[in-house]
Amino acid sequence: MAITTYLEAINQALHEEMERDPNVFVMGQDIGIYGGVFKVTKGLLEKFGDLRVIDTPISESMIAGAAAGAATQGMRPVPEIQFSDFIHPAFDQIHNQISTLYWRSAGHWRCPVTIRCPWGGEVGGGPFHSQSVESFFVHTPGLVVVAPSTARDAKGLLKSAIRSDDPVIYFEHKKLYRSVREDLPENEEILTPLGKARVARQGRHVTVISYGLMFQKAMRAAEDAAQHGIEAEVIDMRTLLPIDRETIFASVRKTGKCMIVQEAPRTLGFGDAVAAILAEELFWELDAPVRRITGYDTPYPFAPTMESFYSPSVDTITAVIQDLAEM
Amino acid sequence: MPVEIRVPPLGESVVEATVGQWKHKEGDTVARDEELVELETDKVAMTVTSYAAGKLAQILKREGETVAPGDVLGLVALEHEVASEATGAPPTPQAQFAGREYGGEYGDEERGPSKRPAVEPIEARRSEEVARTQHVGERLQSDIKLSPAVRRLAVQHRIDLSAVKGTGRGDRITKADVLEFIKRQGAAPAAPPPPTAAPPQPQPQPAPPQPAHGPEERVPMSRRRRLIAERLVQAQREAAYVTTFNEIDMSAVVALRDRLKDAFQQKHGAKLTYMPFFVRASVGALKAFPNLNSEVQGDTIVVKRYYNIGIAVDTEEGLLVPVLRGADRKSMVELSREIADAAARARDGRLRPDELMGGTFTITNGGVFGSLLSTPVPTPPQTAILGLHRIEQRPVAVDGSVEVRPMMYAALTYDHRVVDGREAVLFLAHIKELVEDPEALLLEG
Repeated sequence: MAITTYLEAINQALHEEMERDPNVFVMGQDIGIYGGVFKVTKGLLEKFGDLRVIDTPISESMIAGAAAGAATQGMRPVPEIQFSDFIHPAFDQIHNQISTLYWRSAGHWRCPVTIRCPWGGEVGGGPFHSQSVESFFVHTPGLVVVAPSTARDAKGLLKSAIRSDDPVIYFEHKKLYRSVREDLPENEEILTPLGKARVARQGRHVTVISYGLMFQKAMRAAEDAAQHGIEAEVIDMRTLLPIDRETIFASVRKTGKCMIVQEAPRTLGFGDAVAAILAEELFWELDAPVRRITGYDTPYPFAPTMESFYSPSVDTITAVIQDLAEM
Repeated sequence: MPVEIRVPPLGESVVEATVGQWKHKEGDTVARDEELVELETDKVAMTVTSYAAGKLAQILKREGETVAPGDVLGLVALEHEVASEATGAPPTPQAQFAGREYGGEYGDEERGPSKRPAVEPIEARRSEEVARTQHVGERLQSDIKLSPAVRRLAVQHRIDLSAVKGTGRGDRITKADVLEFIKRQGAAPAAPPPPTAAPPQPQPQPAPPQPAHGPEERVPMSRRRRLIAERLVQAQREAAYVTTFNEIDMSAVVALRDRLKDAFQQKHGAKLTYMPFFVRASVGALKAFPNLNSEVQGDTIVVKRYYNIGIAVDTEEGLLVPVLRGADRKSMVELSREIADAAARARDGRLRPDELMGGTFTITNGGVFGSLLSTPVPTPPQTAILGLHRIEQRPVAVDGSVEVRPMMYAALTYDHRVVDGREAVLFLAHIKELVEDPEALLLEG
């Protein structure tokens, strides 16, 4: 067992999967010689050489498109989009090509790419280095979308994603890189199942659904709420698409009260999807309205004061947990 | 499956209503919460609104019919179902898509609108409505929030939600409260039958038609009139009503009122009438003679220690008696305002059912119609009623000389089962003393 940061866990996953399968290769801006702007890909070029660790030009559509092409030829590319804010030029490749290849080819062609994508805010990055873009991809049938919240799942989900034959968008939260550390086993394969959420904390009063940085905040908020005798059940979604209804339903049947915490802007965020599903399929179990704590429907702010206003705080989450529980 | 529009709970011991005017006809489009039809009880009129947007598909109870709480008044076909009803005419392009399963074949003209599968949520909604009218006790107000989980549990376990204590914010009944209640009850028992009023008196047999001796008009009794009639007869049968009289020299009150009424009006925006004086005097007398502030229940005389004075108001529909609650704790200003407000709303039919309940003593004023003297009838189940009459200038003997004074005859009808003659006479005399001497009235408790 070794204390491992979220970032180290990702690095380990890449090393392990590239060792295991020679078809796995990485590509992206500054990932080779520089080791990645966050140092996530450190040591890969030295170990695996420049045919498997490729520094690319600044062209996201090329990164995604080339990865797609390679994947159809039997490779397992793990391209990196340096910041989720830059994924938009690649959207056509992802949404129209990568996600549909399997369907359009009646199953003959698969596209096993895993696109790594640092995301999220509270790093002072402003509107082009802080975005939460998961909604665009959860709305893209044919993809798998994951967003680990813990070091263990950062490793386990990346390994599972690389091994999966489906195209996966893997969102790694920048703020969690060094702030989350766990004691992870060293000699065992850590594989987190895709499509399965985890009940991180049990409770009978309120269900709190979250992922990424907000999951960590939700856990702290649940502890605070426990001081007031409120037991919140916190679910770490881990996979955003497909949505693990089973885990959510089991929890909401128990509590009758649900809230979703997302960093992303409010409208058509992940919270909307969960709330609609609950309203439609679990209506008669609801003892209170489904609540969403979200970012604002504005571009992501730059000024530190505005950023701390925009991004949901532990206090806000605690307050809503309490409010829901007391309803 | 169309939504049923049902008669809501009507109020304490009100078991039937008459359907009034329908505001829409069959086939009209109605919006959610739009007014559909009026209902009249013996006391108030209320309006039933639509739960859903759609078309008023069918009117089941017409104007004039008698209905009970829970009866289905009509059916509203929901918007999305209206579109899918196939008619003889070829479907419009919109109708084709409206009835179709989502994602159906684009441009498939031949198929026509597909049959919608049975919609389960509507069924669940129906049972929710059933729960609301049949299983929910009359204690519930319309604005108490019952969550979906609470409603479902109530229907499934046949729970009378008025028996469940709410521990949520604002005393809301939460899902946990219902589950706790179920646990304490053991296996779901049948819900207790909803509280009913005393069985209605047998209807008098209609008299066989007599041969007419001249032109006649047959007027069926309105619901309200029939009920007034029944109640009066019933009251007379059980109680032993007797009336005692006195006369009141109103000069002191008249002088006071003439002197202060303008200032009163200006300062308080309310008209100063004689009624608040009589309300205060009655309260004073009731405190001195508590037996008159009572009610007979079987073999027990229930003496009330609170003072809710009913003021009889004549309206187009008959007599209504709105109640001034806690009249002993209200100032002359408050009494004036409330009396005026209650009378106005009584005439407009805007009194709430609870404003007609809980009275302990009534004051009626026939003087506004010119009555000199009368024998009023107490409002059941009250023991006594004070009748006021016309104030008339009359010559009276005062200290050996004849003076013209504004005089009023006052009548007190009382239930002799409870109140003795001596008591009644002294009670009325006490009122007379207080009204004749407003300064004494001021000092009265």
